[in-house]
Amino acid sequence: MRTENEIEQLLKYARLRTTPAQDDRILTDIFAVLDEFAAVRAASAPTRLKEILRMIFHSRWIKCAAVLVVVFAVVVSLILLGGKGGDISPGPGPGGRVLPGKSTARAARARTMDAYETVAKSPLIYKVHLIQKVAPPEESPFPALEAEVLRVFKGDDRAVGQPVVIIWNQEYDRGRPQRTCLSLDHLHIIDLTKVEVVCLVALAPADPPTDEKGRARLRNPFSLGIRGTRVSKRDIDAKRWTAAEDTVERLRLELLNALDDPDADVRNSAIRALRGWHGTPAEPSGLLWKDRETARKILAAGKDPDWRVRWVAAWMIPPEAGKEGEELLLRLLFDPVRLVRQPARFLLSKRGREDIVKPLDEVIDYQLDESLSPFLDFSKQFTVETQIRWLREHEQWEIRSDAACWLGEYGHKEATEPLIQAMNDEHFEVRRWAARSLGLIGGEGAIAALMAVKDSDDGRVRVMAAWALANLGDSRGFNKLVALLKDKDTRAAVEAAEMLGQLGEERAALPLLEATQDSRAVVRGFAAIALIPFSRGQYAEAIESATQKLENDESPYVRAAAVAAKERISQVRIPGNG
Amino acid sequence: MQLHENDISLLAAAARGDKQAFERIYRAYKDDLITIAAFILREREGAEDVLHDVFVSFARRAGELRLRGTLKGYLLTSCVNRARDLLRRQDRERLRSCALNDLPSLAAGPAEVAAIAQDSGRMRAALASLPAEQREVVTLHIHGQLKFREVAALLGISINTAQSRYRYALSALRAILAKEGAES
Repeated sequence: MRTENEIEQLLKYARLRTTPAQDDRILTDIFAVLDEFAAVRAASAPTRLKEILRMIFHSRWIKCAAVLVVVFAVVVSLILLGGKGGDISPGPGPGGRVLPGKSTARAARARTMDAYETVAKSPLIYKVHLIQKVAPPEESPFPALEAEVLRVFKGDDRAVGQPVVIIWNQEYDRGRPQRTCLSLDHLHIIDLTKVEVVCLVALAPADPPTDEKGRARLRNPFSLGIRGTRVSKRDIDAKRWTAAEDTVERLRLELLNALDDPDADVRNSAIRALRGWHGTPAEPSGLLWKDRETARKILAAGKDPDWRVRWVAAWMIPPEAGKEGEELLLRLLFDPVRLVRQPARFLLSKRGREDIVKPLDEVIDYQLDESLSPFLDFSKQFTVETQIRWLREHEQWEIRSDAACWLGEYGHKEATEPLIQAMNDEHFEVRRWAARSLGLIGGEGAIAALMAVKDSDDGRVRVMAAWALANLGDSRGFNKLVALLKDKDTRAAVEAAEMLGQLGEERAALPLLEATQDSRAVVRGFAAIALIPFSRGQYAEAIESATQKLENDESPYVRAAAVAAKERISQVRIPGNG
Repeated sequence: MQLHENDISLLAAAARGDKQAFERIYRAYKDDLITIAAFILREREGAEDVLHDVFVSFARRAGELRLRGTLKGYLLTSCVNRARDLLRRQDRERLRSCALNDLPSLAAGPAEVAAIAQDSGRMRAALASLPAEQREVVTLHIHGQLKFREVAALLGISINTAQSRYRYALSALRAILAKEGAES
């Protein structure tokens, strides 16, 4: 009879082994599953930081070590702070600060100042905290802090070998703090070869959102996709670039998926983030545009219903986009939103299509039109009182004009009086937007104030005042707009055409048809586009005929406008004619 | 099973969908898992299915896996549970009638095992004749290289019970093999 040891030995020998064929079959199935889940992971995969955290949370040794470190830190802190009231507030140091976990605005502001003080006093600390709550603009330390960050990252050799952690949830528009985070947009200021660790962390809102808008914000790639992203890690340069490119690649998929989100804010953020990477040191090999799927998505974003998405997408269309890109740019050159036309004009010019865009030089003031804040919706965070104060007192005319625009856009009736006063502002842009806002909200004295400037020296103020009067139902405004179609100031003439189109009153069709025969090409082009809303009415045939005629115009710009108008007219007619 | 020291890094790589990491894990644990499944099920075909299901399920869940113990423990638990489920679903009478015929065909081992193929084949057949709970303990202890404490935790029994079952199993195997030797 065998001993127990022999029995155990025999049992070991009885161990089975899989055959290579079985291994192949099972591994093939496993890999198929991995491939299947790769796309899902790309969209919702945990970030590398999360993976590291998971490793930490699931390692007993690290847990034990962490507990010991915390206990040690508490003991040391208590010893150091003995007799100081017991508050744990260690001084500045490379490890950052242990901040109190209060969520009040006061605590948030204290944290802001605290972080700012830390950086201001210790310029060699590359750990920047930009905290979550927005401090009142006049008290904000952010511009100084931003300047410090820019100084540190712009080719400053002191950054070499230093860990860098950016916790960035603020955005700046003309020196004013904004609530959204702009990590990727700002990434191009960071030379990844010069730093050891770049960690971009976008803080989530302090309190879980309860409304739909808040939840949509959480779906925003700025809020989630980038949180905890580790862009580069301690290694040789080549590996750091690889890590950065990996991150670009992974984020690219997330952001491309976000371009299909039903929420326009999410799409807007995604395209802006993609633009942030595009052509920057963080995206050194031009990954974005080389990929066919990415290119297709960006071209599609150029036709997005939301103008902000179209605007950013337009800036991303390089010469490599070929014929498709040029077709899109031509379409965007006649976009209903003025701001969207600018990149189209600029890029078409770069492509050598000066023949088309040249006439626009006469009517586009690049700098001024760019000044129209594309981030108007961000201004919602400021109170009406703040906006009125800015309108009255702010030293920058851009801020005053934005405030004038915002007050009308969101219909604050109490702003009528300050807007009337703003009609006397020294800068015509402020007067222009104040006139527009008065046309939107009306109120006592609005018409009289508008009548006073409808013959203003500046053509664009005249147009806006006339439009405002017309919008308030005063026929003098409409008549003035019609008269302005023949104004010597070409800029006023084209804006009048545009305003008449926007008003949508059918009696504007005849003067606009007449304007299609104006001697100035750009007026003919604007008139062709302005006629689109009337293409279903009693002047449909006349408009079609005029458009056909313009397709053979001597000016390439007018021909392109006629083609764009024809395309949009066909889209307008589909619902009308079934 | 020498991989458990690197479970964390391997699992992190697997969670990222790293195919090489999966292959390493698979090759490290496959033979033990198929042996355990085969001895619980008393057939090789079902054991292959169990092995397949364990790893495919692991591939699906790797990204979300919250490992409380070791990766080896997770895989063995998954393997034993699946083998038990499969066993319950099978027709026990049919299994018993063909089990002893099936098991000798399991021999597909290396040369050193081939040299004692006869003894191994007899051992497998003998093991297959043991009650399921004794087979589980034996195969987890011998092939899973688990300590009795780990076997007990995995099967949800006490250490004493695990040791008792193991002793009974070895005694039974000795008796079966002695009887076969006498008959031959």
